[in-house]
Amino acid sequence: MCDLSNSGAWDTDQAVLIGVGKGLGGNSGLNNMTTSPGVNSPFVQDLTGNVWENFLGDANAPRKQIVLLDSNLDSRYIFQYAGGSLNNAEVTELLNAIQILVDELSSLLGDLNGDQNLNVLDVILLVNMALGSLETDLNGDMNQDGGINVLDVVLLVNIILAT
Amino acid sequence: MKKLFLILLLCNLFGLDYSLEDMNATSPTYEEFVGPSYFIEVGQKVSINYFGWET
Repeated sequence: MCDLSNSGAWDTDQAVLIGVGKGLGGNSGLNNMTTSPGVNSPFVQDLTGNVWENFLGDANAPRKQIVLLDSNLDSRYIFQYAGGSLNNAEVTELLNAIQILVDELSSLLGDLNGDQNLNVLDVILLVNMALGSLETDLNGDMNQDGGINVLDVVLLVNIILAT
Repeated sequence: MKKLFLILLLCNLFGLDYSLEDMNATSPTYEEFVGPSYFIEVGQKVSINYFGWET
């Protein structure tokens, strides 16, 4: 039996579970989600198989896979389970992956000293990263181009001046 | 080859997403069309897409 219940396992304001069923088999999955305690998660049916193919590479890919997507709609983690339900180690692995991703996405872009504020201290750190004096922290990649340079410094300064 | 490149480029540009009707009557979004981008727009950062059903 699938255990899709949440029971406070993750912050539902930060991460949402979406059940994706395919074809008629989805009806049983829907019943499972609605009868499991605490589960009010959305459940959709992928009748064409297109979603399965896009996410899993094959419309006939095995069921019981979980794909974590970040806010850029990029796949960050894929779990595949062979058993009838997740064992304790797999549940722990999944919950850890969810928490790590939520934490990563919750960090304030440009907040390089982690004080939850953007100020001159962050600019100093960012300049040093751009100069190569400090190890690169991609949380300072303000324009999301994959690197740290003067453009990121300019963007951060502009954000600070505008607030 | 060009077609494959274009497909890969488009996939990379738009990411993984879908919009399908929520069939769960106990869900707050019942009968709405939902998917990963829907929940990003309402402030949720991560979507846990569960591919599975019971038979």
